[in-house]
Amino acid sequence: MTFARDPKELFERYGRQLLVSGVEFDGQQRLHRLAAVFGAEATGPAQAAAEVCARYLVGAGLGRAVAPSAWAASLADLDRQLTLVASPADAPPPVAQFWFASRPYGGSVDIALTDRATDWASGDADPARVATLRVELGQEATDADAVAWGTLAADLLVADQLGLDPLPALAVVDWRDPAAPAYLRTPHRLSGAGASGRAGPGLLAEYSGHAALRDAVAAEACARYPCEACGLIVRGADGVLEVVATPNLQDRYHALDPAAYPRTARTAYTLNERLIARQADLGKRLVAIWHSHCDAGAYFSAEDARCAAPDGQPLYPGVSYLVVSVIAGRVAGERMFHWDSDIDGYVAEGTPVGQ
Amino acid sequence: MPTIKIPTPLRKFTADKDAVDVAGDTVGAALQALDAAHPGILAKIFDDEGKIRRFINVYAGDEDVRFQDGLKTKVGAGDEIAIIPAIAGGAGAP
Repeated sequence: MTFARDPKELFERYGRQLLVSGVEFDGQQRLHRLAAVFGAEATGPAQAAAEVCARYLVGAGLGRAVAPSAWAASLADLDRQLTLVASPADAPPPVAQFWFASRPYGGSVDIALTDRATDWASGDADPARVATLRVELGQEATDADAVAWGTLAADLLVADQLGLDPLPALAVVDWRDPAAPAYLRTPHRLSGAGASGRAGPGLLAEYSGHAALRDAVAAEACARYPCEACGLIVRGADGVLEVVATPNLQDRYHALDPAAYPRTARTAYTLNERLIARQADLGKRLVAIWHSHCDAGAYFSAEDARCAAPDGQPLYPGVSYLVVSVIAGRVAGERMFHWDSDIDGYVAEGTPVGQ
Repeated sequence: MPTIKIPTPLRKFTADKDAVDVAGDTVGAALQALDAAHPGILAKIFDDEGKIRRFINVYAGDEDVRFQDGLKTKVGAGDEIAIIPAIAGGAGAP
C-alpha cells in the first residue's frame, strides 16, 4: 500500500476525513474501506466530478465492470479527458453537468464537461461537450450513495488534473490489512460539511453525537436482520431525543394482499402509524422515521421516496428519514435524509454517519 | 357519532380542523359523510377502484381496517377513525 502523502499529516492539516466502506451487493463481506483526506477545495465542478470518480473507484474496488462503454474504459481514460479539458489555458473553464438514469437493476451516469451550462428553462440545445464519461452502476452504487462517497475522489482525480491547490491525498486501504494505520482501521464519527453541499436541519449532527441513540438503532437493526427494522425518533418536551423501535408489519400486509404489498419484510417495512399518536399523547414529537436495509446500502431507495411522498409532497413534512445499512448482520453505514423543497425530493444530510 | 381524525396533508379540505364528527355506523359510511361535508377529500383517500389507497391507512381503534372488515367495519358513537399516511419503504429498486 502506498500513500501519495501521509494521510495523518494531511488530516491534521486540513481537518476533514471521510471513511467509507465498499460492500458486495450479494451480502458478502465488505471488501474495502476507502479513506480520503481532503481540503475545502472540493467544491463546484471538482465536487461534481468527484461523484463520478467515486463511483468509478468504488466500483473498481468491488471488482465490478463500472465503465463498459466505449467512452471511458479505464481510469486512464478519465485522466486523459480531464487533462484535455484543463488545456489550453485560454479556454473558458468547463462546466461539469450530470445526466443520471436509473433502471430497475442499475443505472448509469454521464458526466459531461461542457463549454457552458445547459439552460433547462429555455430549452437551449445541449452545449458542446468537451468530454464525456459514462459510468455504469451496479445497484449498490445508487445516486445517494455516490453523493455520499463522492467527495473522497476529488483530490486525486480532479484536484490533481485541474491543478487545484492544495493537493490532498487519496489512499485506498484494505481495512483488514494490519499494516494500515490504526486510525484508518478505527471507526470514526464524522461531522462537518456534507458531500451534497446542502446544510440539513441539523438532526444529523445531534444524532451523530448521541452514541446511545445510535446504539439503540443499531441493536434493533441487527436483531431484526435479515428483515428490515423500523421505528421512530421522537423528541420529548425536555428536548431529549429517544429511539422508539416498532414492529415491522410488512409481512402481515403482504399476507393480506400480496398484489398490493408484493414485498416481504426482507426488503420493505410498514410501521403502525398509530404509535406516533401515542408518542404525541406522551408529549413527544416525531422528528425522524428510521428503518434498515438488509445487505444493501444506506440510501433513500425509490421505494422509500415513493412511500414518503407518493403525490410529490412529503406525507410527514419536517420529518427526517434515517436509513441504516446492515450487511451480513452488522451495521455498515447510516444516512439521514430530509425533504428539500428546492428540488421537491429527499436529499442526504451531511456526510455519512461513521461506523 | 364517530370522530374522524384528519392528517395534516388533508386538512386543507376541512378548514384546518384536525378532527371531524360525522354520522355513520360503518367506516365506509362515515367516510362518505366526511366527503359530503368536505367535498373532494375522499378522492385523496380512495383510488380509482374505490379501495383505500396504498399510501393511506384508515384505522378504527388501534387496528387498520384492512385487517378488520374493511369499509364495513362497524363504528359506534365516540369511536375514533384515523386517516393516516402510511409509513413504509424498503431497499432496492422498485
